[in-house]
Amino acid sequence: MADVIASVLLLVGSALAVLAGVGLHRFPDVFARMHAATKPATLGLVLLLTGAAMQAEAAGDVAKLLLVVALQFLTAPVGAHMIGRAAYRAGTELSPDTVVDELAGVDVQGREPGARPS
Amino acid sequence: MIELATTAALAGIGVAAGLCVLALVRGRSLADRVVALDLLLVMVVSGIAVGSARTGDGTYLDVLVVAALLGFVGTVTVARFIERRGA
Amino acid sequence: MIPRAVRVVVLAAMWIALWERFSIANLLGGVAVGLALVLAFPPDRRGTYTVRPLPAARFLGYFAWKLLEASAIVAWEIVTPRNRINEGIVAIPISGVSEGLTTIVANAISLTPGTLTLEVVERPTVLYVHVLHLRDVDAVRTEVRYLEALAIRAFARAEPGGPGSTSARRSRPSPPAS
Repeated sequence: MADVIASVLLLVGSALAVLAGVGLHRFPDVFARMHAATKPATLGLVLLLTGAAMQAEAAGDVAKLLLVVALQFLTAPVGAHMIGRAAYRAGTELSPDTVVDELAGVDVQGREPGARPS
Repeated sequence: MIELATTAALAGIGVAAGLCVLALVRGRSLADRVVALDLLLVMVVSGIAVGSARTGDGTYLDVLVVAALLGFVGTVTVARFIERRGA
Repeated sequence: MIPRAVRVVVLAAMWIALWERFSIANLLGGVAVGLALVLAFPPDRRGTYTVRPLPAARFLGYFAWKLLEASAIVAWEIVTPRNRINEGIVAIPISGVSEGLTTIVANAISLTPGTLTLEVVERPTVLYVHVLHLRDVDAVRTEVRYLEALAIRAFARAEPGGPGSTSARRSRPSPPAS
């Protein structure tokens, strides 16, 4: 029974990983690509490592895998946020599908996002 | 059953990693490349974990923790670089 | 005192997990390393917050559900041949109770469907969020405020009269109609 659950987790996790990879190519805009890179990838990693943890034989292995899962949860959104912020501040163009941009021209800590730092 | 699942999972991870490398080479901007690299690292970590589940050998799991942390540090470093120098 | 002790315990647990064996030597080593780190990098006094188990479970449950929904939505977007993406960046003012809470909400937003935090401005606390399917700006704001309400009920310090106090927490936040 545990084998079945682990197999399902592994398969769904790898499917999400492939989707994340495809998403990198499909979306028209850096920020949209980050959506595709963080959300399915994080969930895929969680599922894959949980499936692997179910198959692990030593308790230390399970602990390390769960540690990596926790670290990924903590670091993935922060990493995506930092790159998004940096890309916006560096003046990356948004895709032409963009409907609303309320960040343009807002003064963030003394520097306008979208303006090239001199 | 589990053998099949790990093989399939590794194949999927390999395909995803290949797509990441493709995105890296295509490189529309520096931000794109660092996102692709981050995803590639996630694929490597998953691959090692599934591989260790397949063989039952947990020797390489220490690498996972270090890789995850260093990947994050690298991403943040490049992000700050982008902020200063432009994508 | 308590947050420091919790941090030492968490660090010691990580140490033991990395050494793979729960022995006395590992436990003492973990506590020693944990203490050294916590003393070298003391936690910010302003950032102390409490954890209430039941609201925290509710927050985590909602968050986990949203994470699944996020992956499903992105997967659907990738698979359908025509992508109708209307992106947008939305300004969302939230009640900035503390920096720690703002951090929790900003990070949680990055993992919920279709949203990614781009900028955080302090005083007044406004989050600038990049949204993938922007159909209704107000719906996004309601969503984020609901998330924040759950987080406040789970984690905010119980200051008298502040958002984390018992009287303020008595009103239950209602989930946004989706």
